[in-house]
Amino acid sequence: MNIKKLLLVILIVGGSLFAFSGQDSKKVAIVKLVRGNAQMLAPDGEKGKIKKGQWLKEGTIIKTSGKTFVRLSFIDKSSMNIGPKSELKIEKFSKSEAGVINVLTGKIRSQVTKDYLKMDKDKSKLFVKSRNAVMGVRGTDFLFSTNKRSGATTTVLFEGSIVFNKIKPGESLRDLEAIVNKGRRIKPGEVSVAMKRYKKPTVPAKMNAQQFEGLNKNKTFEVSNEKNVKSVKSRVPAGLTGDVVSSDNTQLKQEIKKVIKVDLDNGSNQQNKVSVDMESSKGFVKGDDVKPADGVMVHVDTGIVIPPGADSSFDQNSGQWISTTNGGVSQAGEYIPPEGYSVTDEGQLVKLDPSGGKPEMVEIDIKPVDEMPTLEAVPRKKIDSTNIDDASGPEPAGTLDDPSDSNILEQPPLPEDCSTCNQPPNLFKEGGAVLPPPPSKTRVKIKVNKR
Amino acid sequence: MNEKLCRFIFVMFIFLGLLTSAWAKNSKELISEVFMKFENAKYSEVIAVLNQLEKRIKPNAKNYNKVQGLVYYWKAMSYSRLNDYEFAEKFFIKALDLKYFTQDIYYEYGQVLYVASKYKRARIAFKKSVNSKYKVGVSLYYIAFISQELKDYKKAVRFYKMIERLPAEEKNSVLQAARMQVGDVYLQQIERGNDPFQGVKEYVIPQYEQALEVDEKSALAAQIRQKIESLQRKYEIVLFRMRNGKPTARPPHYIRANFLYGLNDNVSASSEDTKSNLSTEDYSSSYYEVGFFSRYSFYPSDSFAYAPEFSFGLTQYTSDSTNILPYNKYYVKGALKMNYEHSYKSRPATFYIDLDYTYNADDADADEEFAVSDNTYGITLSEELQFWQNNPSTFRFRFENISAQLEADKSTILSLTFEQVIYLSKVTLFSYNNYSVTNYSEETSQANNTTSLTTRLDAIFPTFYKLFNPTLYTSLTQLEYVENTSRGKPLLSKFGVNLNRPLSKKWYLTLDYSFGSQAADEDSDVYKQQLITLNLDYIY
Repeated sequence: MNIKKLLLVILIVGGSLFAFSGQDSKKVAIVKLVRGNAQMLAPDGEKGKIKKGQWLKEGTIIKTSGKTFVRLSFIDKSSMNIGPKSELKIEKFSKSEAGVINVLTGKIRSQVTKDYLKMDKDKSKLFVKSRNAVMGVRGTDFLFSTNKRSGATTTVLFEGSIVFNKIKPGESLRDLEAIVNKGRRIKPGEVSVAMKRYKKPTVPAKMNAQQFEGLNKNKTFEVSNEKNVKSVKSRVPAGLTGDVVSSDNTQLKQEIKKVIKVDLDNGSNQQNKVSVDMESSKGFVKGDDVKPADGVMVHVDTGIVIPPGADSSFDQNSGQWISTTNGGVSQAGEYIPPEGYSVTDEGQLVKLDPSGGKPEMVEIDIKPVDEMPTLEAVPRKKIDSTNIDDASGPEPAGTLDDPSDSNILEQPPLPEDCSTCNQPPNLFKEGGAVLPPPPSKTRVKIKVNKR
Repeated sequence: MNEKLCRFIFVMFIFLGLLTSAWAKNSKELISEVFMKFENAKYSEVIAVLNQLEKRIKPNAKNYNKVQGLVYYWKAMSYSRLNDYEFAEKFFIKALDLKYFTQDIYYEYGQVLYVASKYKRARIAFKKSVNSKYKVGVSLYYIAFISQELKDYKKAVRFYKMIERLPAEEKNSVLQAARMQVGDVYLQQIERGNDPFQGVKEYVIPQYEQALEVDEKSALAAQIRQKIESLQRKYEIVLFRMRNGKPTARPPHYIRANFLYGLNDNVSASSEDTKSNLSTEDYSSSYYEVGFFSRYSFYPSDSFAYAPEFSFGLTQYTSDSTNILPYNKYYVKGALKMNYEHSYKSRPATFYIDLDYTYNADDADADEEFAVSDNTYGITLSEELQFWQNNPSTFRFRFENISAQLEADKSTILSLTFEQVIYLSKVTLFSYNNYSVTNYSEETSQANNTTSLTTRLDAIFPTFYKLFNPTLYTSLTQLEYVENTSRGKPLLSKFGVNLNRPLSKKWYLTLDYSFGSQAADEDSDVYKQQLITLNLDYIY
């Protein structure tokens, strides 16, 4: 009788402990702040509106509507801000290995704690992936944005270190570390975009200083109402390049020394100076390695890259190329196209027809700054239907009940860009002439007569 | 009392002295800090701190103008770098009003005025910049460019040409652009005249070419080349397309070299019976080929073109079996290809005449030495028509005279060919049909006189996953021994696959596999043959 009771108590206590510990181990993040409307779908089927103070389990899908912002605090004290019109899944988050966040669409801003899991410095502490790219986080503060329609994923690093790579179609996602190890290492202040048209993410380039500053401050995804900025004439006359017309600080330094008797040529001033690699700053295209010029602007929501054009001036202080004709940035760090241009829901930059005709798609091909045409000179092609009403925002994320995007785990990788699929076959050689088939292939048996 | 007063004054003096030095120190630290911000491109913060500093400047101080001037100049530079040209201009003016001059102030001010399209004032500022010897080359360029914008072309050219006389370090960065702009001005003037063709040819293009000479690899050089090409097109100085729309070869020369490595499992086309009595090295071997091809195209008119060609090829088998050695060979070939563009039923058509001469040598004696085997002279007349638009059909008639070293090998070949290209949405088909008649001149060899009918089809597919361009081909050749009916009509069937991959703009790699099988009445004519080759092309 006593033994039976004891066994019963052990069973009840043990069972409850087991159940509770199991439940606790799955709770990985707490909702610190909610603004607007955000929904969640837990792996056990629980769904509903996200509330402040709510614990989220591993496997939970979070979806935000427009003008919504959610701040999560993870069990390791890392924080993550989820932007409007976003959808993500906390795929994996355990104490023994790196977590995985799957962003289907939208953007997140995350601050990962420096001693996170006290793991190897060269290994990723967290993986953030989208359908076409994966990022290994080895440092702290970054922005990650992906767009389902344009198929582009953008990452901006504010502090720390991240490694970023594109996921090849059909590539196994079991070893994310191996994928990111072959990727781009991004430094603070730099941006890289994984696009359909390029095999690899763009070589990290310094982001336009104003945009970087705006994004850095904009941790809560504020949006501006600016639609367009007015283009300003470039200070670079046609034929010259920005580096030729720019001047350094020698004169200013001399004046300060002469007038205020402050010698700026010694001490900390020299140490803090930003070093500029002029050649690399111009950007390049070397096989699959494509780097826009430093000073590049990016429409973060869609991944449109706006490289500085040949009329850009060069700021020797920041080492960046500054365009006054390619648009500008808002206080919130958003790219604002110049007058007469707009960004569509499909993630396309379009030139509008002032007479109400069909807009033209601007096909930006990243090139080094001195070969990069200005936005006005970039080739364009007519498009049939484009929703340009909601010009600057990303596409709506839908709802959790939307069957089209309910299973984010099973999303097949995007097909490779097939821009060359329709190329004419290799019939033409020798300067344009059609080659006759090699006659030797149909020749009859050769009979050799001895001399 | 006096002593107390003296003490007080002394203490106050020390206190004020310390305060002043602390202020001075703070100001210097602040200046240092602001400069650091400036060097790190934090221009908004620079302006904010300079505004604070400005409040500390006493209007009655001895060096007021200098310090205040410096602050204005610095603020103007910061606004200029923020692309806020209105404020930049305002502060440059304030600095200059205080007679604050630095070597670069007029250059910076000139840029601000230029952006604001205040051209005349900008030009004056840049002239002062030239006088200050600051960025003389660039300043002259600005003056010239502004003059060009103001349609003051004489002045523009004068200032552009002044750049030519500057020392290298001043002119290097602007010389190419200056020469190009002079070309632009010339063009602008010439196109207003009566005979632009002559002017473009004699002045504009040579001027652009001078600009190209400065640096042929620069990004601007590409633009200049485009300008030259568009003028050549516009004024038909150079022929870019034939009258029927075929692009002309640009550049006119074409050079290709190749190296091929292959494996042939039945070099001598031996039957299974024959092979069973031989060792493998006697009928199978790897081999390599080295080839060279060159052509130079001339276009006397838009309907007639001719191109001399020269080519060379060597085939060498690695087996030293006496059965294989006779297949080692080389050739040297010269050809003249001519074509005349005309139209047939309102569609483009081309008539070709090809003359060729080939020197062939081989190792027929298997003594590991090459000796001349024959000299072949050929003429081909072809007509390319378009029965279906953009799908050319070609008829060829060829006569070939083989003047062999051995009388027994002297022969002639007459052939008729029909080729058809069919472009479909996902594949291009190429059909080749040939009928040829071979006649030996010596009576004893006439048993080898043949007629042959070949039909071949190539299916050329688009790029496969950006990896390679695949082609599948198949052919049938029916041979008939005209004078020796007992040998029947051997039928050779063949199929193959060809994978081509450009490695770069100049290098191409091709992998080819083919399988051939001949059926015949005579056992010795029955054979099978497999061939695999890897070819590397270099195109100059």
